Amino acid sequence: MEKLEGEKHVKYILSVEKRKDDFESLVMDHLRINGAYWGLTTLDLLHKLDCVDQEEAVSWVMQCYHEDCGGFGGNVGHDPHLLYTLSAVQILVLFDKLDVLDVEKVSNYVSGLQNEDGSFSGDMWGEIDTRFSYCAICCLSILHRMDKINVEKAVNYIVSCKNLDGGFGCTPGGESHAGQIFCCIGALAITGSLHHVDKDLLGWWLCERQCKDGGLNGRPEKFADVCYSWWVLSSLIIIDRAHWIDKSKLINFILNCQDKEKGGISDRPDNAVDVFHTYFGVAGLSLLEYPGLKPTDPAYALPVDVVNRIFFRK
Amino acid sequence: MGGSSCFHVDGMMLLKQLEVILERDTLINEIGFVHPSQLATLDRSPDATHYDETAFWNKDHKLAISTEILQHLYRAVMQEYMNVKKRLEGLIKQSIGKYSSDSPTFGSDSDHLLESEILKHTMALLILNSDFGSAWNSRKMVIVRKAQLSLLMDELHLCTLILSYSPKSQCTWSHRRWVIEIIGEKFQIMHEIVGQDSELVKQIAEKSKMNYRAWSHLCWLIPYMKGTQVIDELNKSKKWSELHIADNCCFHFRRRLLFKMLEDISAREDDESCINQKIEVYFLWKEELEWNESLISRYIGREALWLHRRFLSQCYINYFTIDHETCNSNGEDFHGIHSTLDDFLDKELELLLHSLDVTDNEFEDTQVQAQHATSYIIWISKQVPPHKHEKLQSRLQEMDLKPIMIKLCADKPHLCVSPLLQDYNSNV
Amino acid sequence: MKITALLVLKSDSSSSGDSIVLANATDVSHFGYFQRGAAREFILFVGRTVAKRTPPGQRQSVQHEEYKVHSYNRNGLCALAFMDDHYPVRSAFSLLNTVLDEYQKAFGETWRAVQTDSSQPWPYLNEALTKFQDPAEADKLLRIQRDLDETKIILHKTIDSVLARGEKLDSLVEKSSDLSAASQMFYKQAKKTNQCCTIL
Repeated sequence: MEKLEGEKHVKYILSVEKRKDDFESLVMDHLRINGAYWGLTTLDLLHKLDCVDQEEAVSWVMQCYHEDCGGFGGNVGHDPHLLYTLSAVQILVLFDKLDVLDVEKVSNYVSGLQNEDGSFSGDMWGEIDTRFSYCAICCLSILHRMDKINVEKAVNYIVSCKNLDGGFGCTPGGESHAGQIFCCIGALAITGSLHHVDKDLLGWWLCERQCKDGGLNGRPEKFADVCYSWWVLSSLIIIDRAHWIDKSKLINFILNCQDKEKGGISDRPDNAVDVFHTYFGVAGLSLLEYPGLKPTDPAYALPVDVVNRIFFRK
Repeated sequence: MGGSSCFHVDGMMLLKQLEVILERDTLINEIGFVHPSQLATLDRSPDATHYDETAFWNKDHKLAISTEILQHLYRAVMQEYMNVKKRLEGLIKQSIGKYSSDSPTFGSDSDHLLESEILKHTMALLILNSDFGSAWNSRKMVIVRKAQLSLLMDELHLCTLILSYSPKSQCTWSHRRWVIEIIGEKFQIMHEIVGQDSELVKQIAEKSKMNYRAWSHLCWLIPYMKGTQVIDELNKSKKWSELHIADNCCFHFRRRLLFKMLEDISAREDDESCINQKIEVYFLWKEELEWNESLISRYIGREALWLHRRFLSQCYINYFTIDHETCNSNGEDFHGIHSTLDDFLDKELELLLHSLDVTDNEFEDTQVQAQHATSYIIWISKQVPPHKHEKLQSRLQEMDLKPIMIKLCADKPHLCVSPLLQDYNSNV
Repeated sequence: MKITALLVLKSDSSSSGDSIVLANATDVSHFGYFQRGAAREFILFVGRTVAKRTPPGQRQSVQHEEYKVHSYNRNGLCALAFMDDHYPVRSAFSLLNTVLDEYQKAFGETWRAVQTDSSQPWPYLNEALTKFQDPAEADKLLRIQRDLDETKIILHKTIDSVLARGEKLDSLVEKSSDLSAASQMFYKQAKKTNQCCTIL
């Protein structure tokens, strides 16, 4: 049986932050703030958040802030978008630094992107997707500003994206996809609207994602991929059907995707590692209660102690 | 791709060359990032005087860029783009204070120059990194002010080019939809756009399997389709899905088309033409079920086929069957063309029987087929009224299928709990 | 359910030399324009590697990424098919049977004397590549051809498991004379991760 190479993953994440020269790293620059959220959350789950310079990280996040509108870009000088605004808020809350934010302004940016039918656009250019509903709802919940949007309409829109197979797509009629399902279920959980979900039906679709090798895929007929250890499993936990999959086989699958020498986790065994899959592998193991990891909240995608700090300190 | 090189490379010069190539050859339809040794083997283009041949190759509307220079090129174009982006933002703030889509176009020559700079640099940048959202946004800023059809069509061409080698690029698909929405608002050519994009998606799907973004794009176009186009798409995607039986995306697309037809007839008043249409859809549905069954028996153990059947059967039960016991007609009377629920279930049990034949066969995964079939029947049992369960159970018992089903479900907690199997357990 | 290539090779697992390509039909139209050369080279390289390790009388199916390579060696004459994962295995092997029959019908035993790769086209193989893209066509072969013999098919989940102990595909790729630097890059890139799932 393999074991989690926690220390090596810490080293890997810190090294990625320093490597900025090759073309592969350059073309990921536009979503650096997502990368920072994945990396920092992994460190926190491994009890190693103190390895990074908090001041430096927070001040960099704030350089991505657009004072004129209240949104965050994916990097300094990049346009604001809900995807990046959520990551920024998540990073700040990880460091317990929400006080650097103009909460009013940020939440106005987010709520301003709600459309008449309850859906959310990702930015001023209007693309609509249930991913953005999740970003908005998660963000506003962390900021305690849920009253700024029409929650009922937001929920109805998400419910309108439900398919006959129990899953959810990016817009009404869109094919069910585990990533989209996480967004919809996460948003419904945060707004206390899970009664709209047929848990047995959705759980059925989700547990059928487990492949022979123990890993989870995101759609029918696809290969298993470590990132779905997060998207599928968190959804199953939220609807209380995680016992429908074989957890020990999944743990083995994730552990087999580690680079045991240099650290990091890949999508499948023997592939190249990246921060994205490293985060979802470690977070998946945390949901599976793997020893030595902080527990993760399946809806907020943050360590449970961080979520508790948001809601129970006041 | 190319580590940090020790010799000096002039990124700005290379960028200028690339931009000249893109300007001169507007019909480029494929781009590749190739190893320098491959670049050297390509047939020399006779008019390759405007670029460094160790960096680029451009002939027959194909463009190759050496992997050795990518990072230098990228740094240069980033720098240029960030400069013009700042200038554009300044200009917008100055002219209207705040962006709005019905703002006047810029007037002066220098403004126009800036716009063309933006288009030029973002094109080079997006060719190197198609998910650079801000660069697409800058293009939108420029285009929204002009809304000329030719410009919009050029934009679609750029998206097509990028999708040819980055078929999953989310930002590119999203930009394409944004452009199409503008075209739809201002010009009467949606019919052609739908046809063109349907071709594009199939081409991309041929190279990039189970491409969620590509098929989502086609599903997004369904509301723009006319009745005849829906039928046409249904016909065209049939052979395609036969040759790609694992591509659940294409089957989902078919489900959307079929469902649209069902919704359309359900919403209509009952006049003569509508009844004819209903009969048509009914036969279409039966045909799809039969087609699906033939694929299931040819391609053993394919999840996508069984999932497609779940959908077809679920809708069939809801819209086209009569339950004699309760005289409950689901949907309306189709002038005698309804089949009874019992007949339908009997047929599905036959399919189950065939599919449970787990003979040792080295060629095919009969075990997986049997599992899909079992799962399917349990799924169907959830779609029928509870008083049918007993009947289904006794049929399964008669056919002596329960023991094997229970065995197949042993490690599947979500299936074990089905009443279809439970009752039998307590009987023995 | 694309068939990418059909090959016939002279495969002598006891000799130390490489397998010799007797006929080759390839359809790389689903690769990008600039990748087609590398794809062709890679098919040759993998084809030779697998044929060399398929002893006479044996059938093998080897998984490589989302491709499957099926191989059948009849008395030293070896037919291979590169197809994607979902092409039915039974249809694939009846196709290989037919290819070998047709080859022997056309060329008899002349292949035994061949010492270098043949570049002579064999139209039948190209036609077969087109015709059998639809497995329904290969199904028809099956009905005539009842005698799919008793040889077991050996399934391999990776190419590495076909190789001898201590051999690795990665190092064979580096040593291969079939593969140019460009093709080696193509191989390495194919191993890069799937960035498609950056969903959030």
